[in-house]
Amino acid sequence: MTTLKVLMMGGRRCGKTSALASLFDQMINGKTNQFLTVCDNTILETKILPNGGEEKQDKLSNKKLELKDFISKGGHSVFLVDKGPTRNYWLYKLQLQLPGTTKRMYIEFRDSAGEFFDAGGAHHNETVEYIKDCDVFVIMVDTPYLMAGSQVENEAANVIDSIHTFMTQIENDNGRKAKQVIFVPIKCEKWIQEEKINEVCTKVETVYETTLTALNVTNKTEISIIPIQTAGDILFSELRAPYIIYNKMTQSKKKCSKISDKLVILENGKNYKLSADEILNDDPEGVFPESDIMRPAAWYHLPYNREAQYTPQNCEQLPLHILRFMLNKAKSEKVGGIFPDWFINLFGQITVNDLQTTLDKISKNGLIKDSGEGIKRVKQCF
Amino acid sequence: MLKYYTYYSIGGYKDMFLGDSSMQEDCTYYVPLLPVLRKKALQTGDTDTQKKVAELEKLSMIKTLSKESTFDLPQRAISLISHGAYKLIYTQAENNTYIISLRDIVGTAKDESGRSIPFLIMIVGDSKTDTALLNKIAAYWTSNLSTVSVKIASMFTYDSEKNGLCFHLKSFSQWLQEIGEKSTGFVDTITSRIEIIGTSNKMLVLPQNITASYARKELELNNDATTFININDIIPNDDKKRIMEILSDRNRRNMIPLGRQMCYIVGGALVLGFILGYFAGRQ
Repeated sequence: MTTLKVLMMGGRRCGKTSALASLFDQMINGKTNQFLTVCDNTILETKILPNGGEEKQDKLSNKKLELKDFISKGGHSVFLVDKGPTRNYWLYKLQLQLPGTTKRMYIEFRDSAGEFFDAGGAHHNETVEYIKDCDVFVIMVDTPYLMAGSQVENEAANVIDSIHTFMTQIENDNGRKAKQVIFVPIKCEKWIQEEKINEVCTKVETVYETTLTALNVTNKTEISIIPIQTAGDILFSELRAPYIIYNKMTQSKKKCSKISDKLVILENGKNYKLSADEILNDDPEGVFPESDIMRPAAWYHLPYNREAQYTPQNCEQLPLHILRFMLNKAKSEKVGGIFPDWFINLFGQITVNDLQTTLDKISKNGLIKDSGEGIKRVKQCF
Repeated sequence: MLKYYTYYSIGGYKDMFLGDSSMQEDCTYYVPLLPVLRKKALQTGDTDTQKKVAELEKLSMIKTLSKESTFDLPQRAISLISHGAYKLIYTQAENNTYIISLRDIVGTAKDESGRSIPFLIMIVGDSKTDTALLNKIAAYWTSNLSTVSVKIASMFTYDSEKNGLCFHLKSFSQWLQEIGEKSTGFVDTITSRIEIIGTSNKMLVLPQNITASYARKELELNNDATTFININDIIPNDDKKRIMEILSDRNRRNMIPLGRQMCYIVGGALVLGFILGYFAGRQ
């Protein structure tokens, strides 16, 4: 079986990279590692800094540390989690190996900047070409904007029209080649803890109805909804108008929320009074691209009634569902063709039978979830 | 004429046309909140907002690119923005255009964790007559990567009054002209001196840990004639520390260590002694 290609899709700052970080962490360190040895096989790109130092492509483990850092700081105030944006695109590679053997396979995740999913943007054609090459599409849904934003804010934040445009570009060779689309509501800890996750899934099906209808035209697209929690205890609080404080002396900017003309809440949740050198402006980054719609900032808090814990949930379900889909696809399309398993084994690759055996073990141990916690298989094609 | 483009983050990364060498304005601006202000002025009739909108609309604007409006950016350039495996590339594109693209420039803006937000800048020459200047720019930038990055980053500032990005267009154009006057057009590396001629060869500076074959594949260079320069092999004009490192490294390689000298002496003496003893024994 060759490298599987998965495309992470979604609006800017929706959490694609954080989801990947938690997914990798759960696969490497979670319960599935007794059946599959998993490691991060990404080749990191290196940047050279002007001072002669160098900086590597952010390891996904750094993203995980960011999330843990939020949790560890504690506190009861609200805060922003809007961390560094993805630059253009990065490839991350997960290596899966059968324990006790050298047999391996790889899943390649392409993590793109949200800007690449602007249909009609400068990278439209490039994104379309890459889509034609992929088998699996993971559509991240920014839950705070889905559930708390207005219709316009949700459509802009989750680039729903653009996602629809790109999804119609999936090539399944007139229904001969199976594809998989997974909708992943993220930042949904609040709704899970309030036991309202089914409302989130219903909203996903409503909002993406046009896309789902288009995908259902052939019987060869498998569709699922898998809500995930990348941190576990970072809970959405509310959407607020975005502002910045600009310091004329240091020329630095800080994001904040306005209480009054001179009093704000900083992104770490602390109240702050502006000094004489500082001015309060609307955040120029707080507007949806090429539009007249302000993008409210999503603010979060930690649990009020107990200590916060770093407890990602269901992130490992994504690769497990993807593996199961690819196994069924390989069996139905007879991947490997006339070559018998012993021949494929010579190349150190995991065969279809190997994967079937492994997935059967994982299923028997109840590790693949098809329902509960908002997980739903909307359509199966095998 | 040279045209300037960037992939820069302000509320997310955007492909932008900054201006060209024929423009006389001091600055071009990107004011993302202008549509919001226009809407507010229309809806509320607020005279202060209307006045603000009128002032902003007089500015020379940076343009964001789209599928329909690429502002003459060559098709080839788009994949150079989204693909990596190079630090600097100088290449020809369709319709006799020539591109210099420099990526991973450390911007002055920082994210919420205090990390730099890197960006890319691209110069496109739209005719062969531009290549003489582009050759010199490519050579100068390659030989002065540290100071060039700082200089380019300083061309992008936040204007608090207009509440948007300001690109210092005139300063940038003047700086490029100065480079054209002082650059030799050559890049010195630890193995050779390379003359940069865009019409003959592509030129690509490989970042650390990236091989030429990987870059070829990533950037679809195929069999195009390309001069690859490893970033560590460049003898920079602007980094004395790096020059010292290169010199010490060369000295270390050229010097035979004392221990090895002793081995050579002892070994040589043994061999000589054996030969002399052999002939002496025969007699």
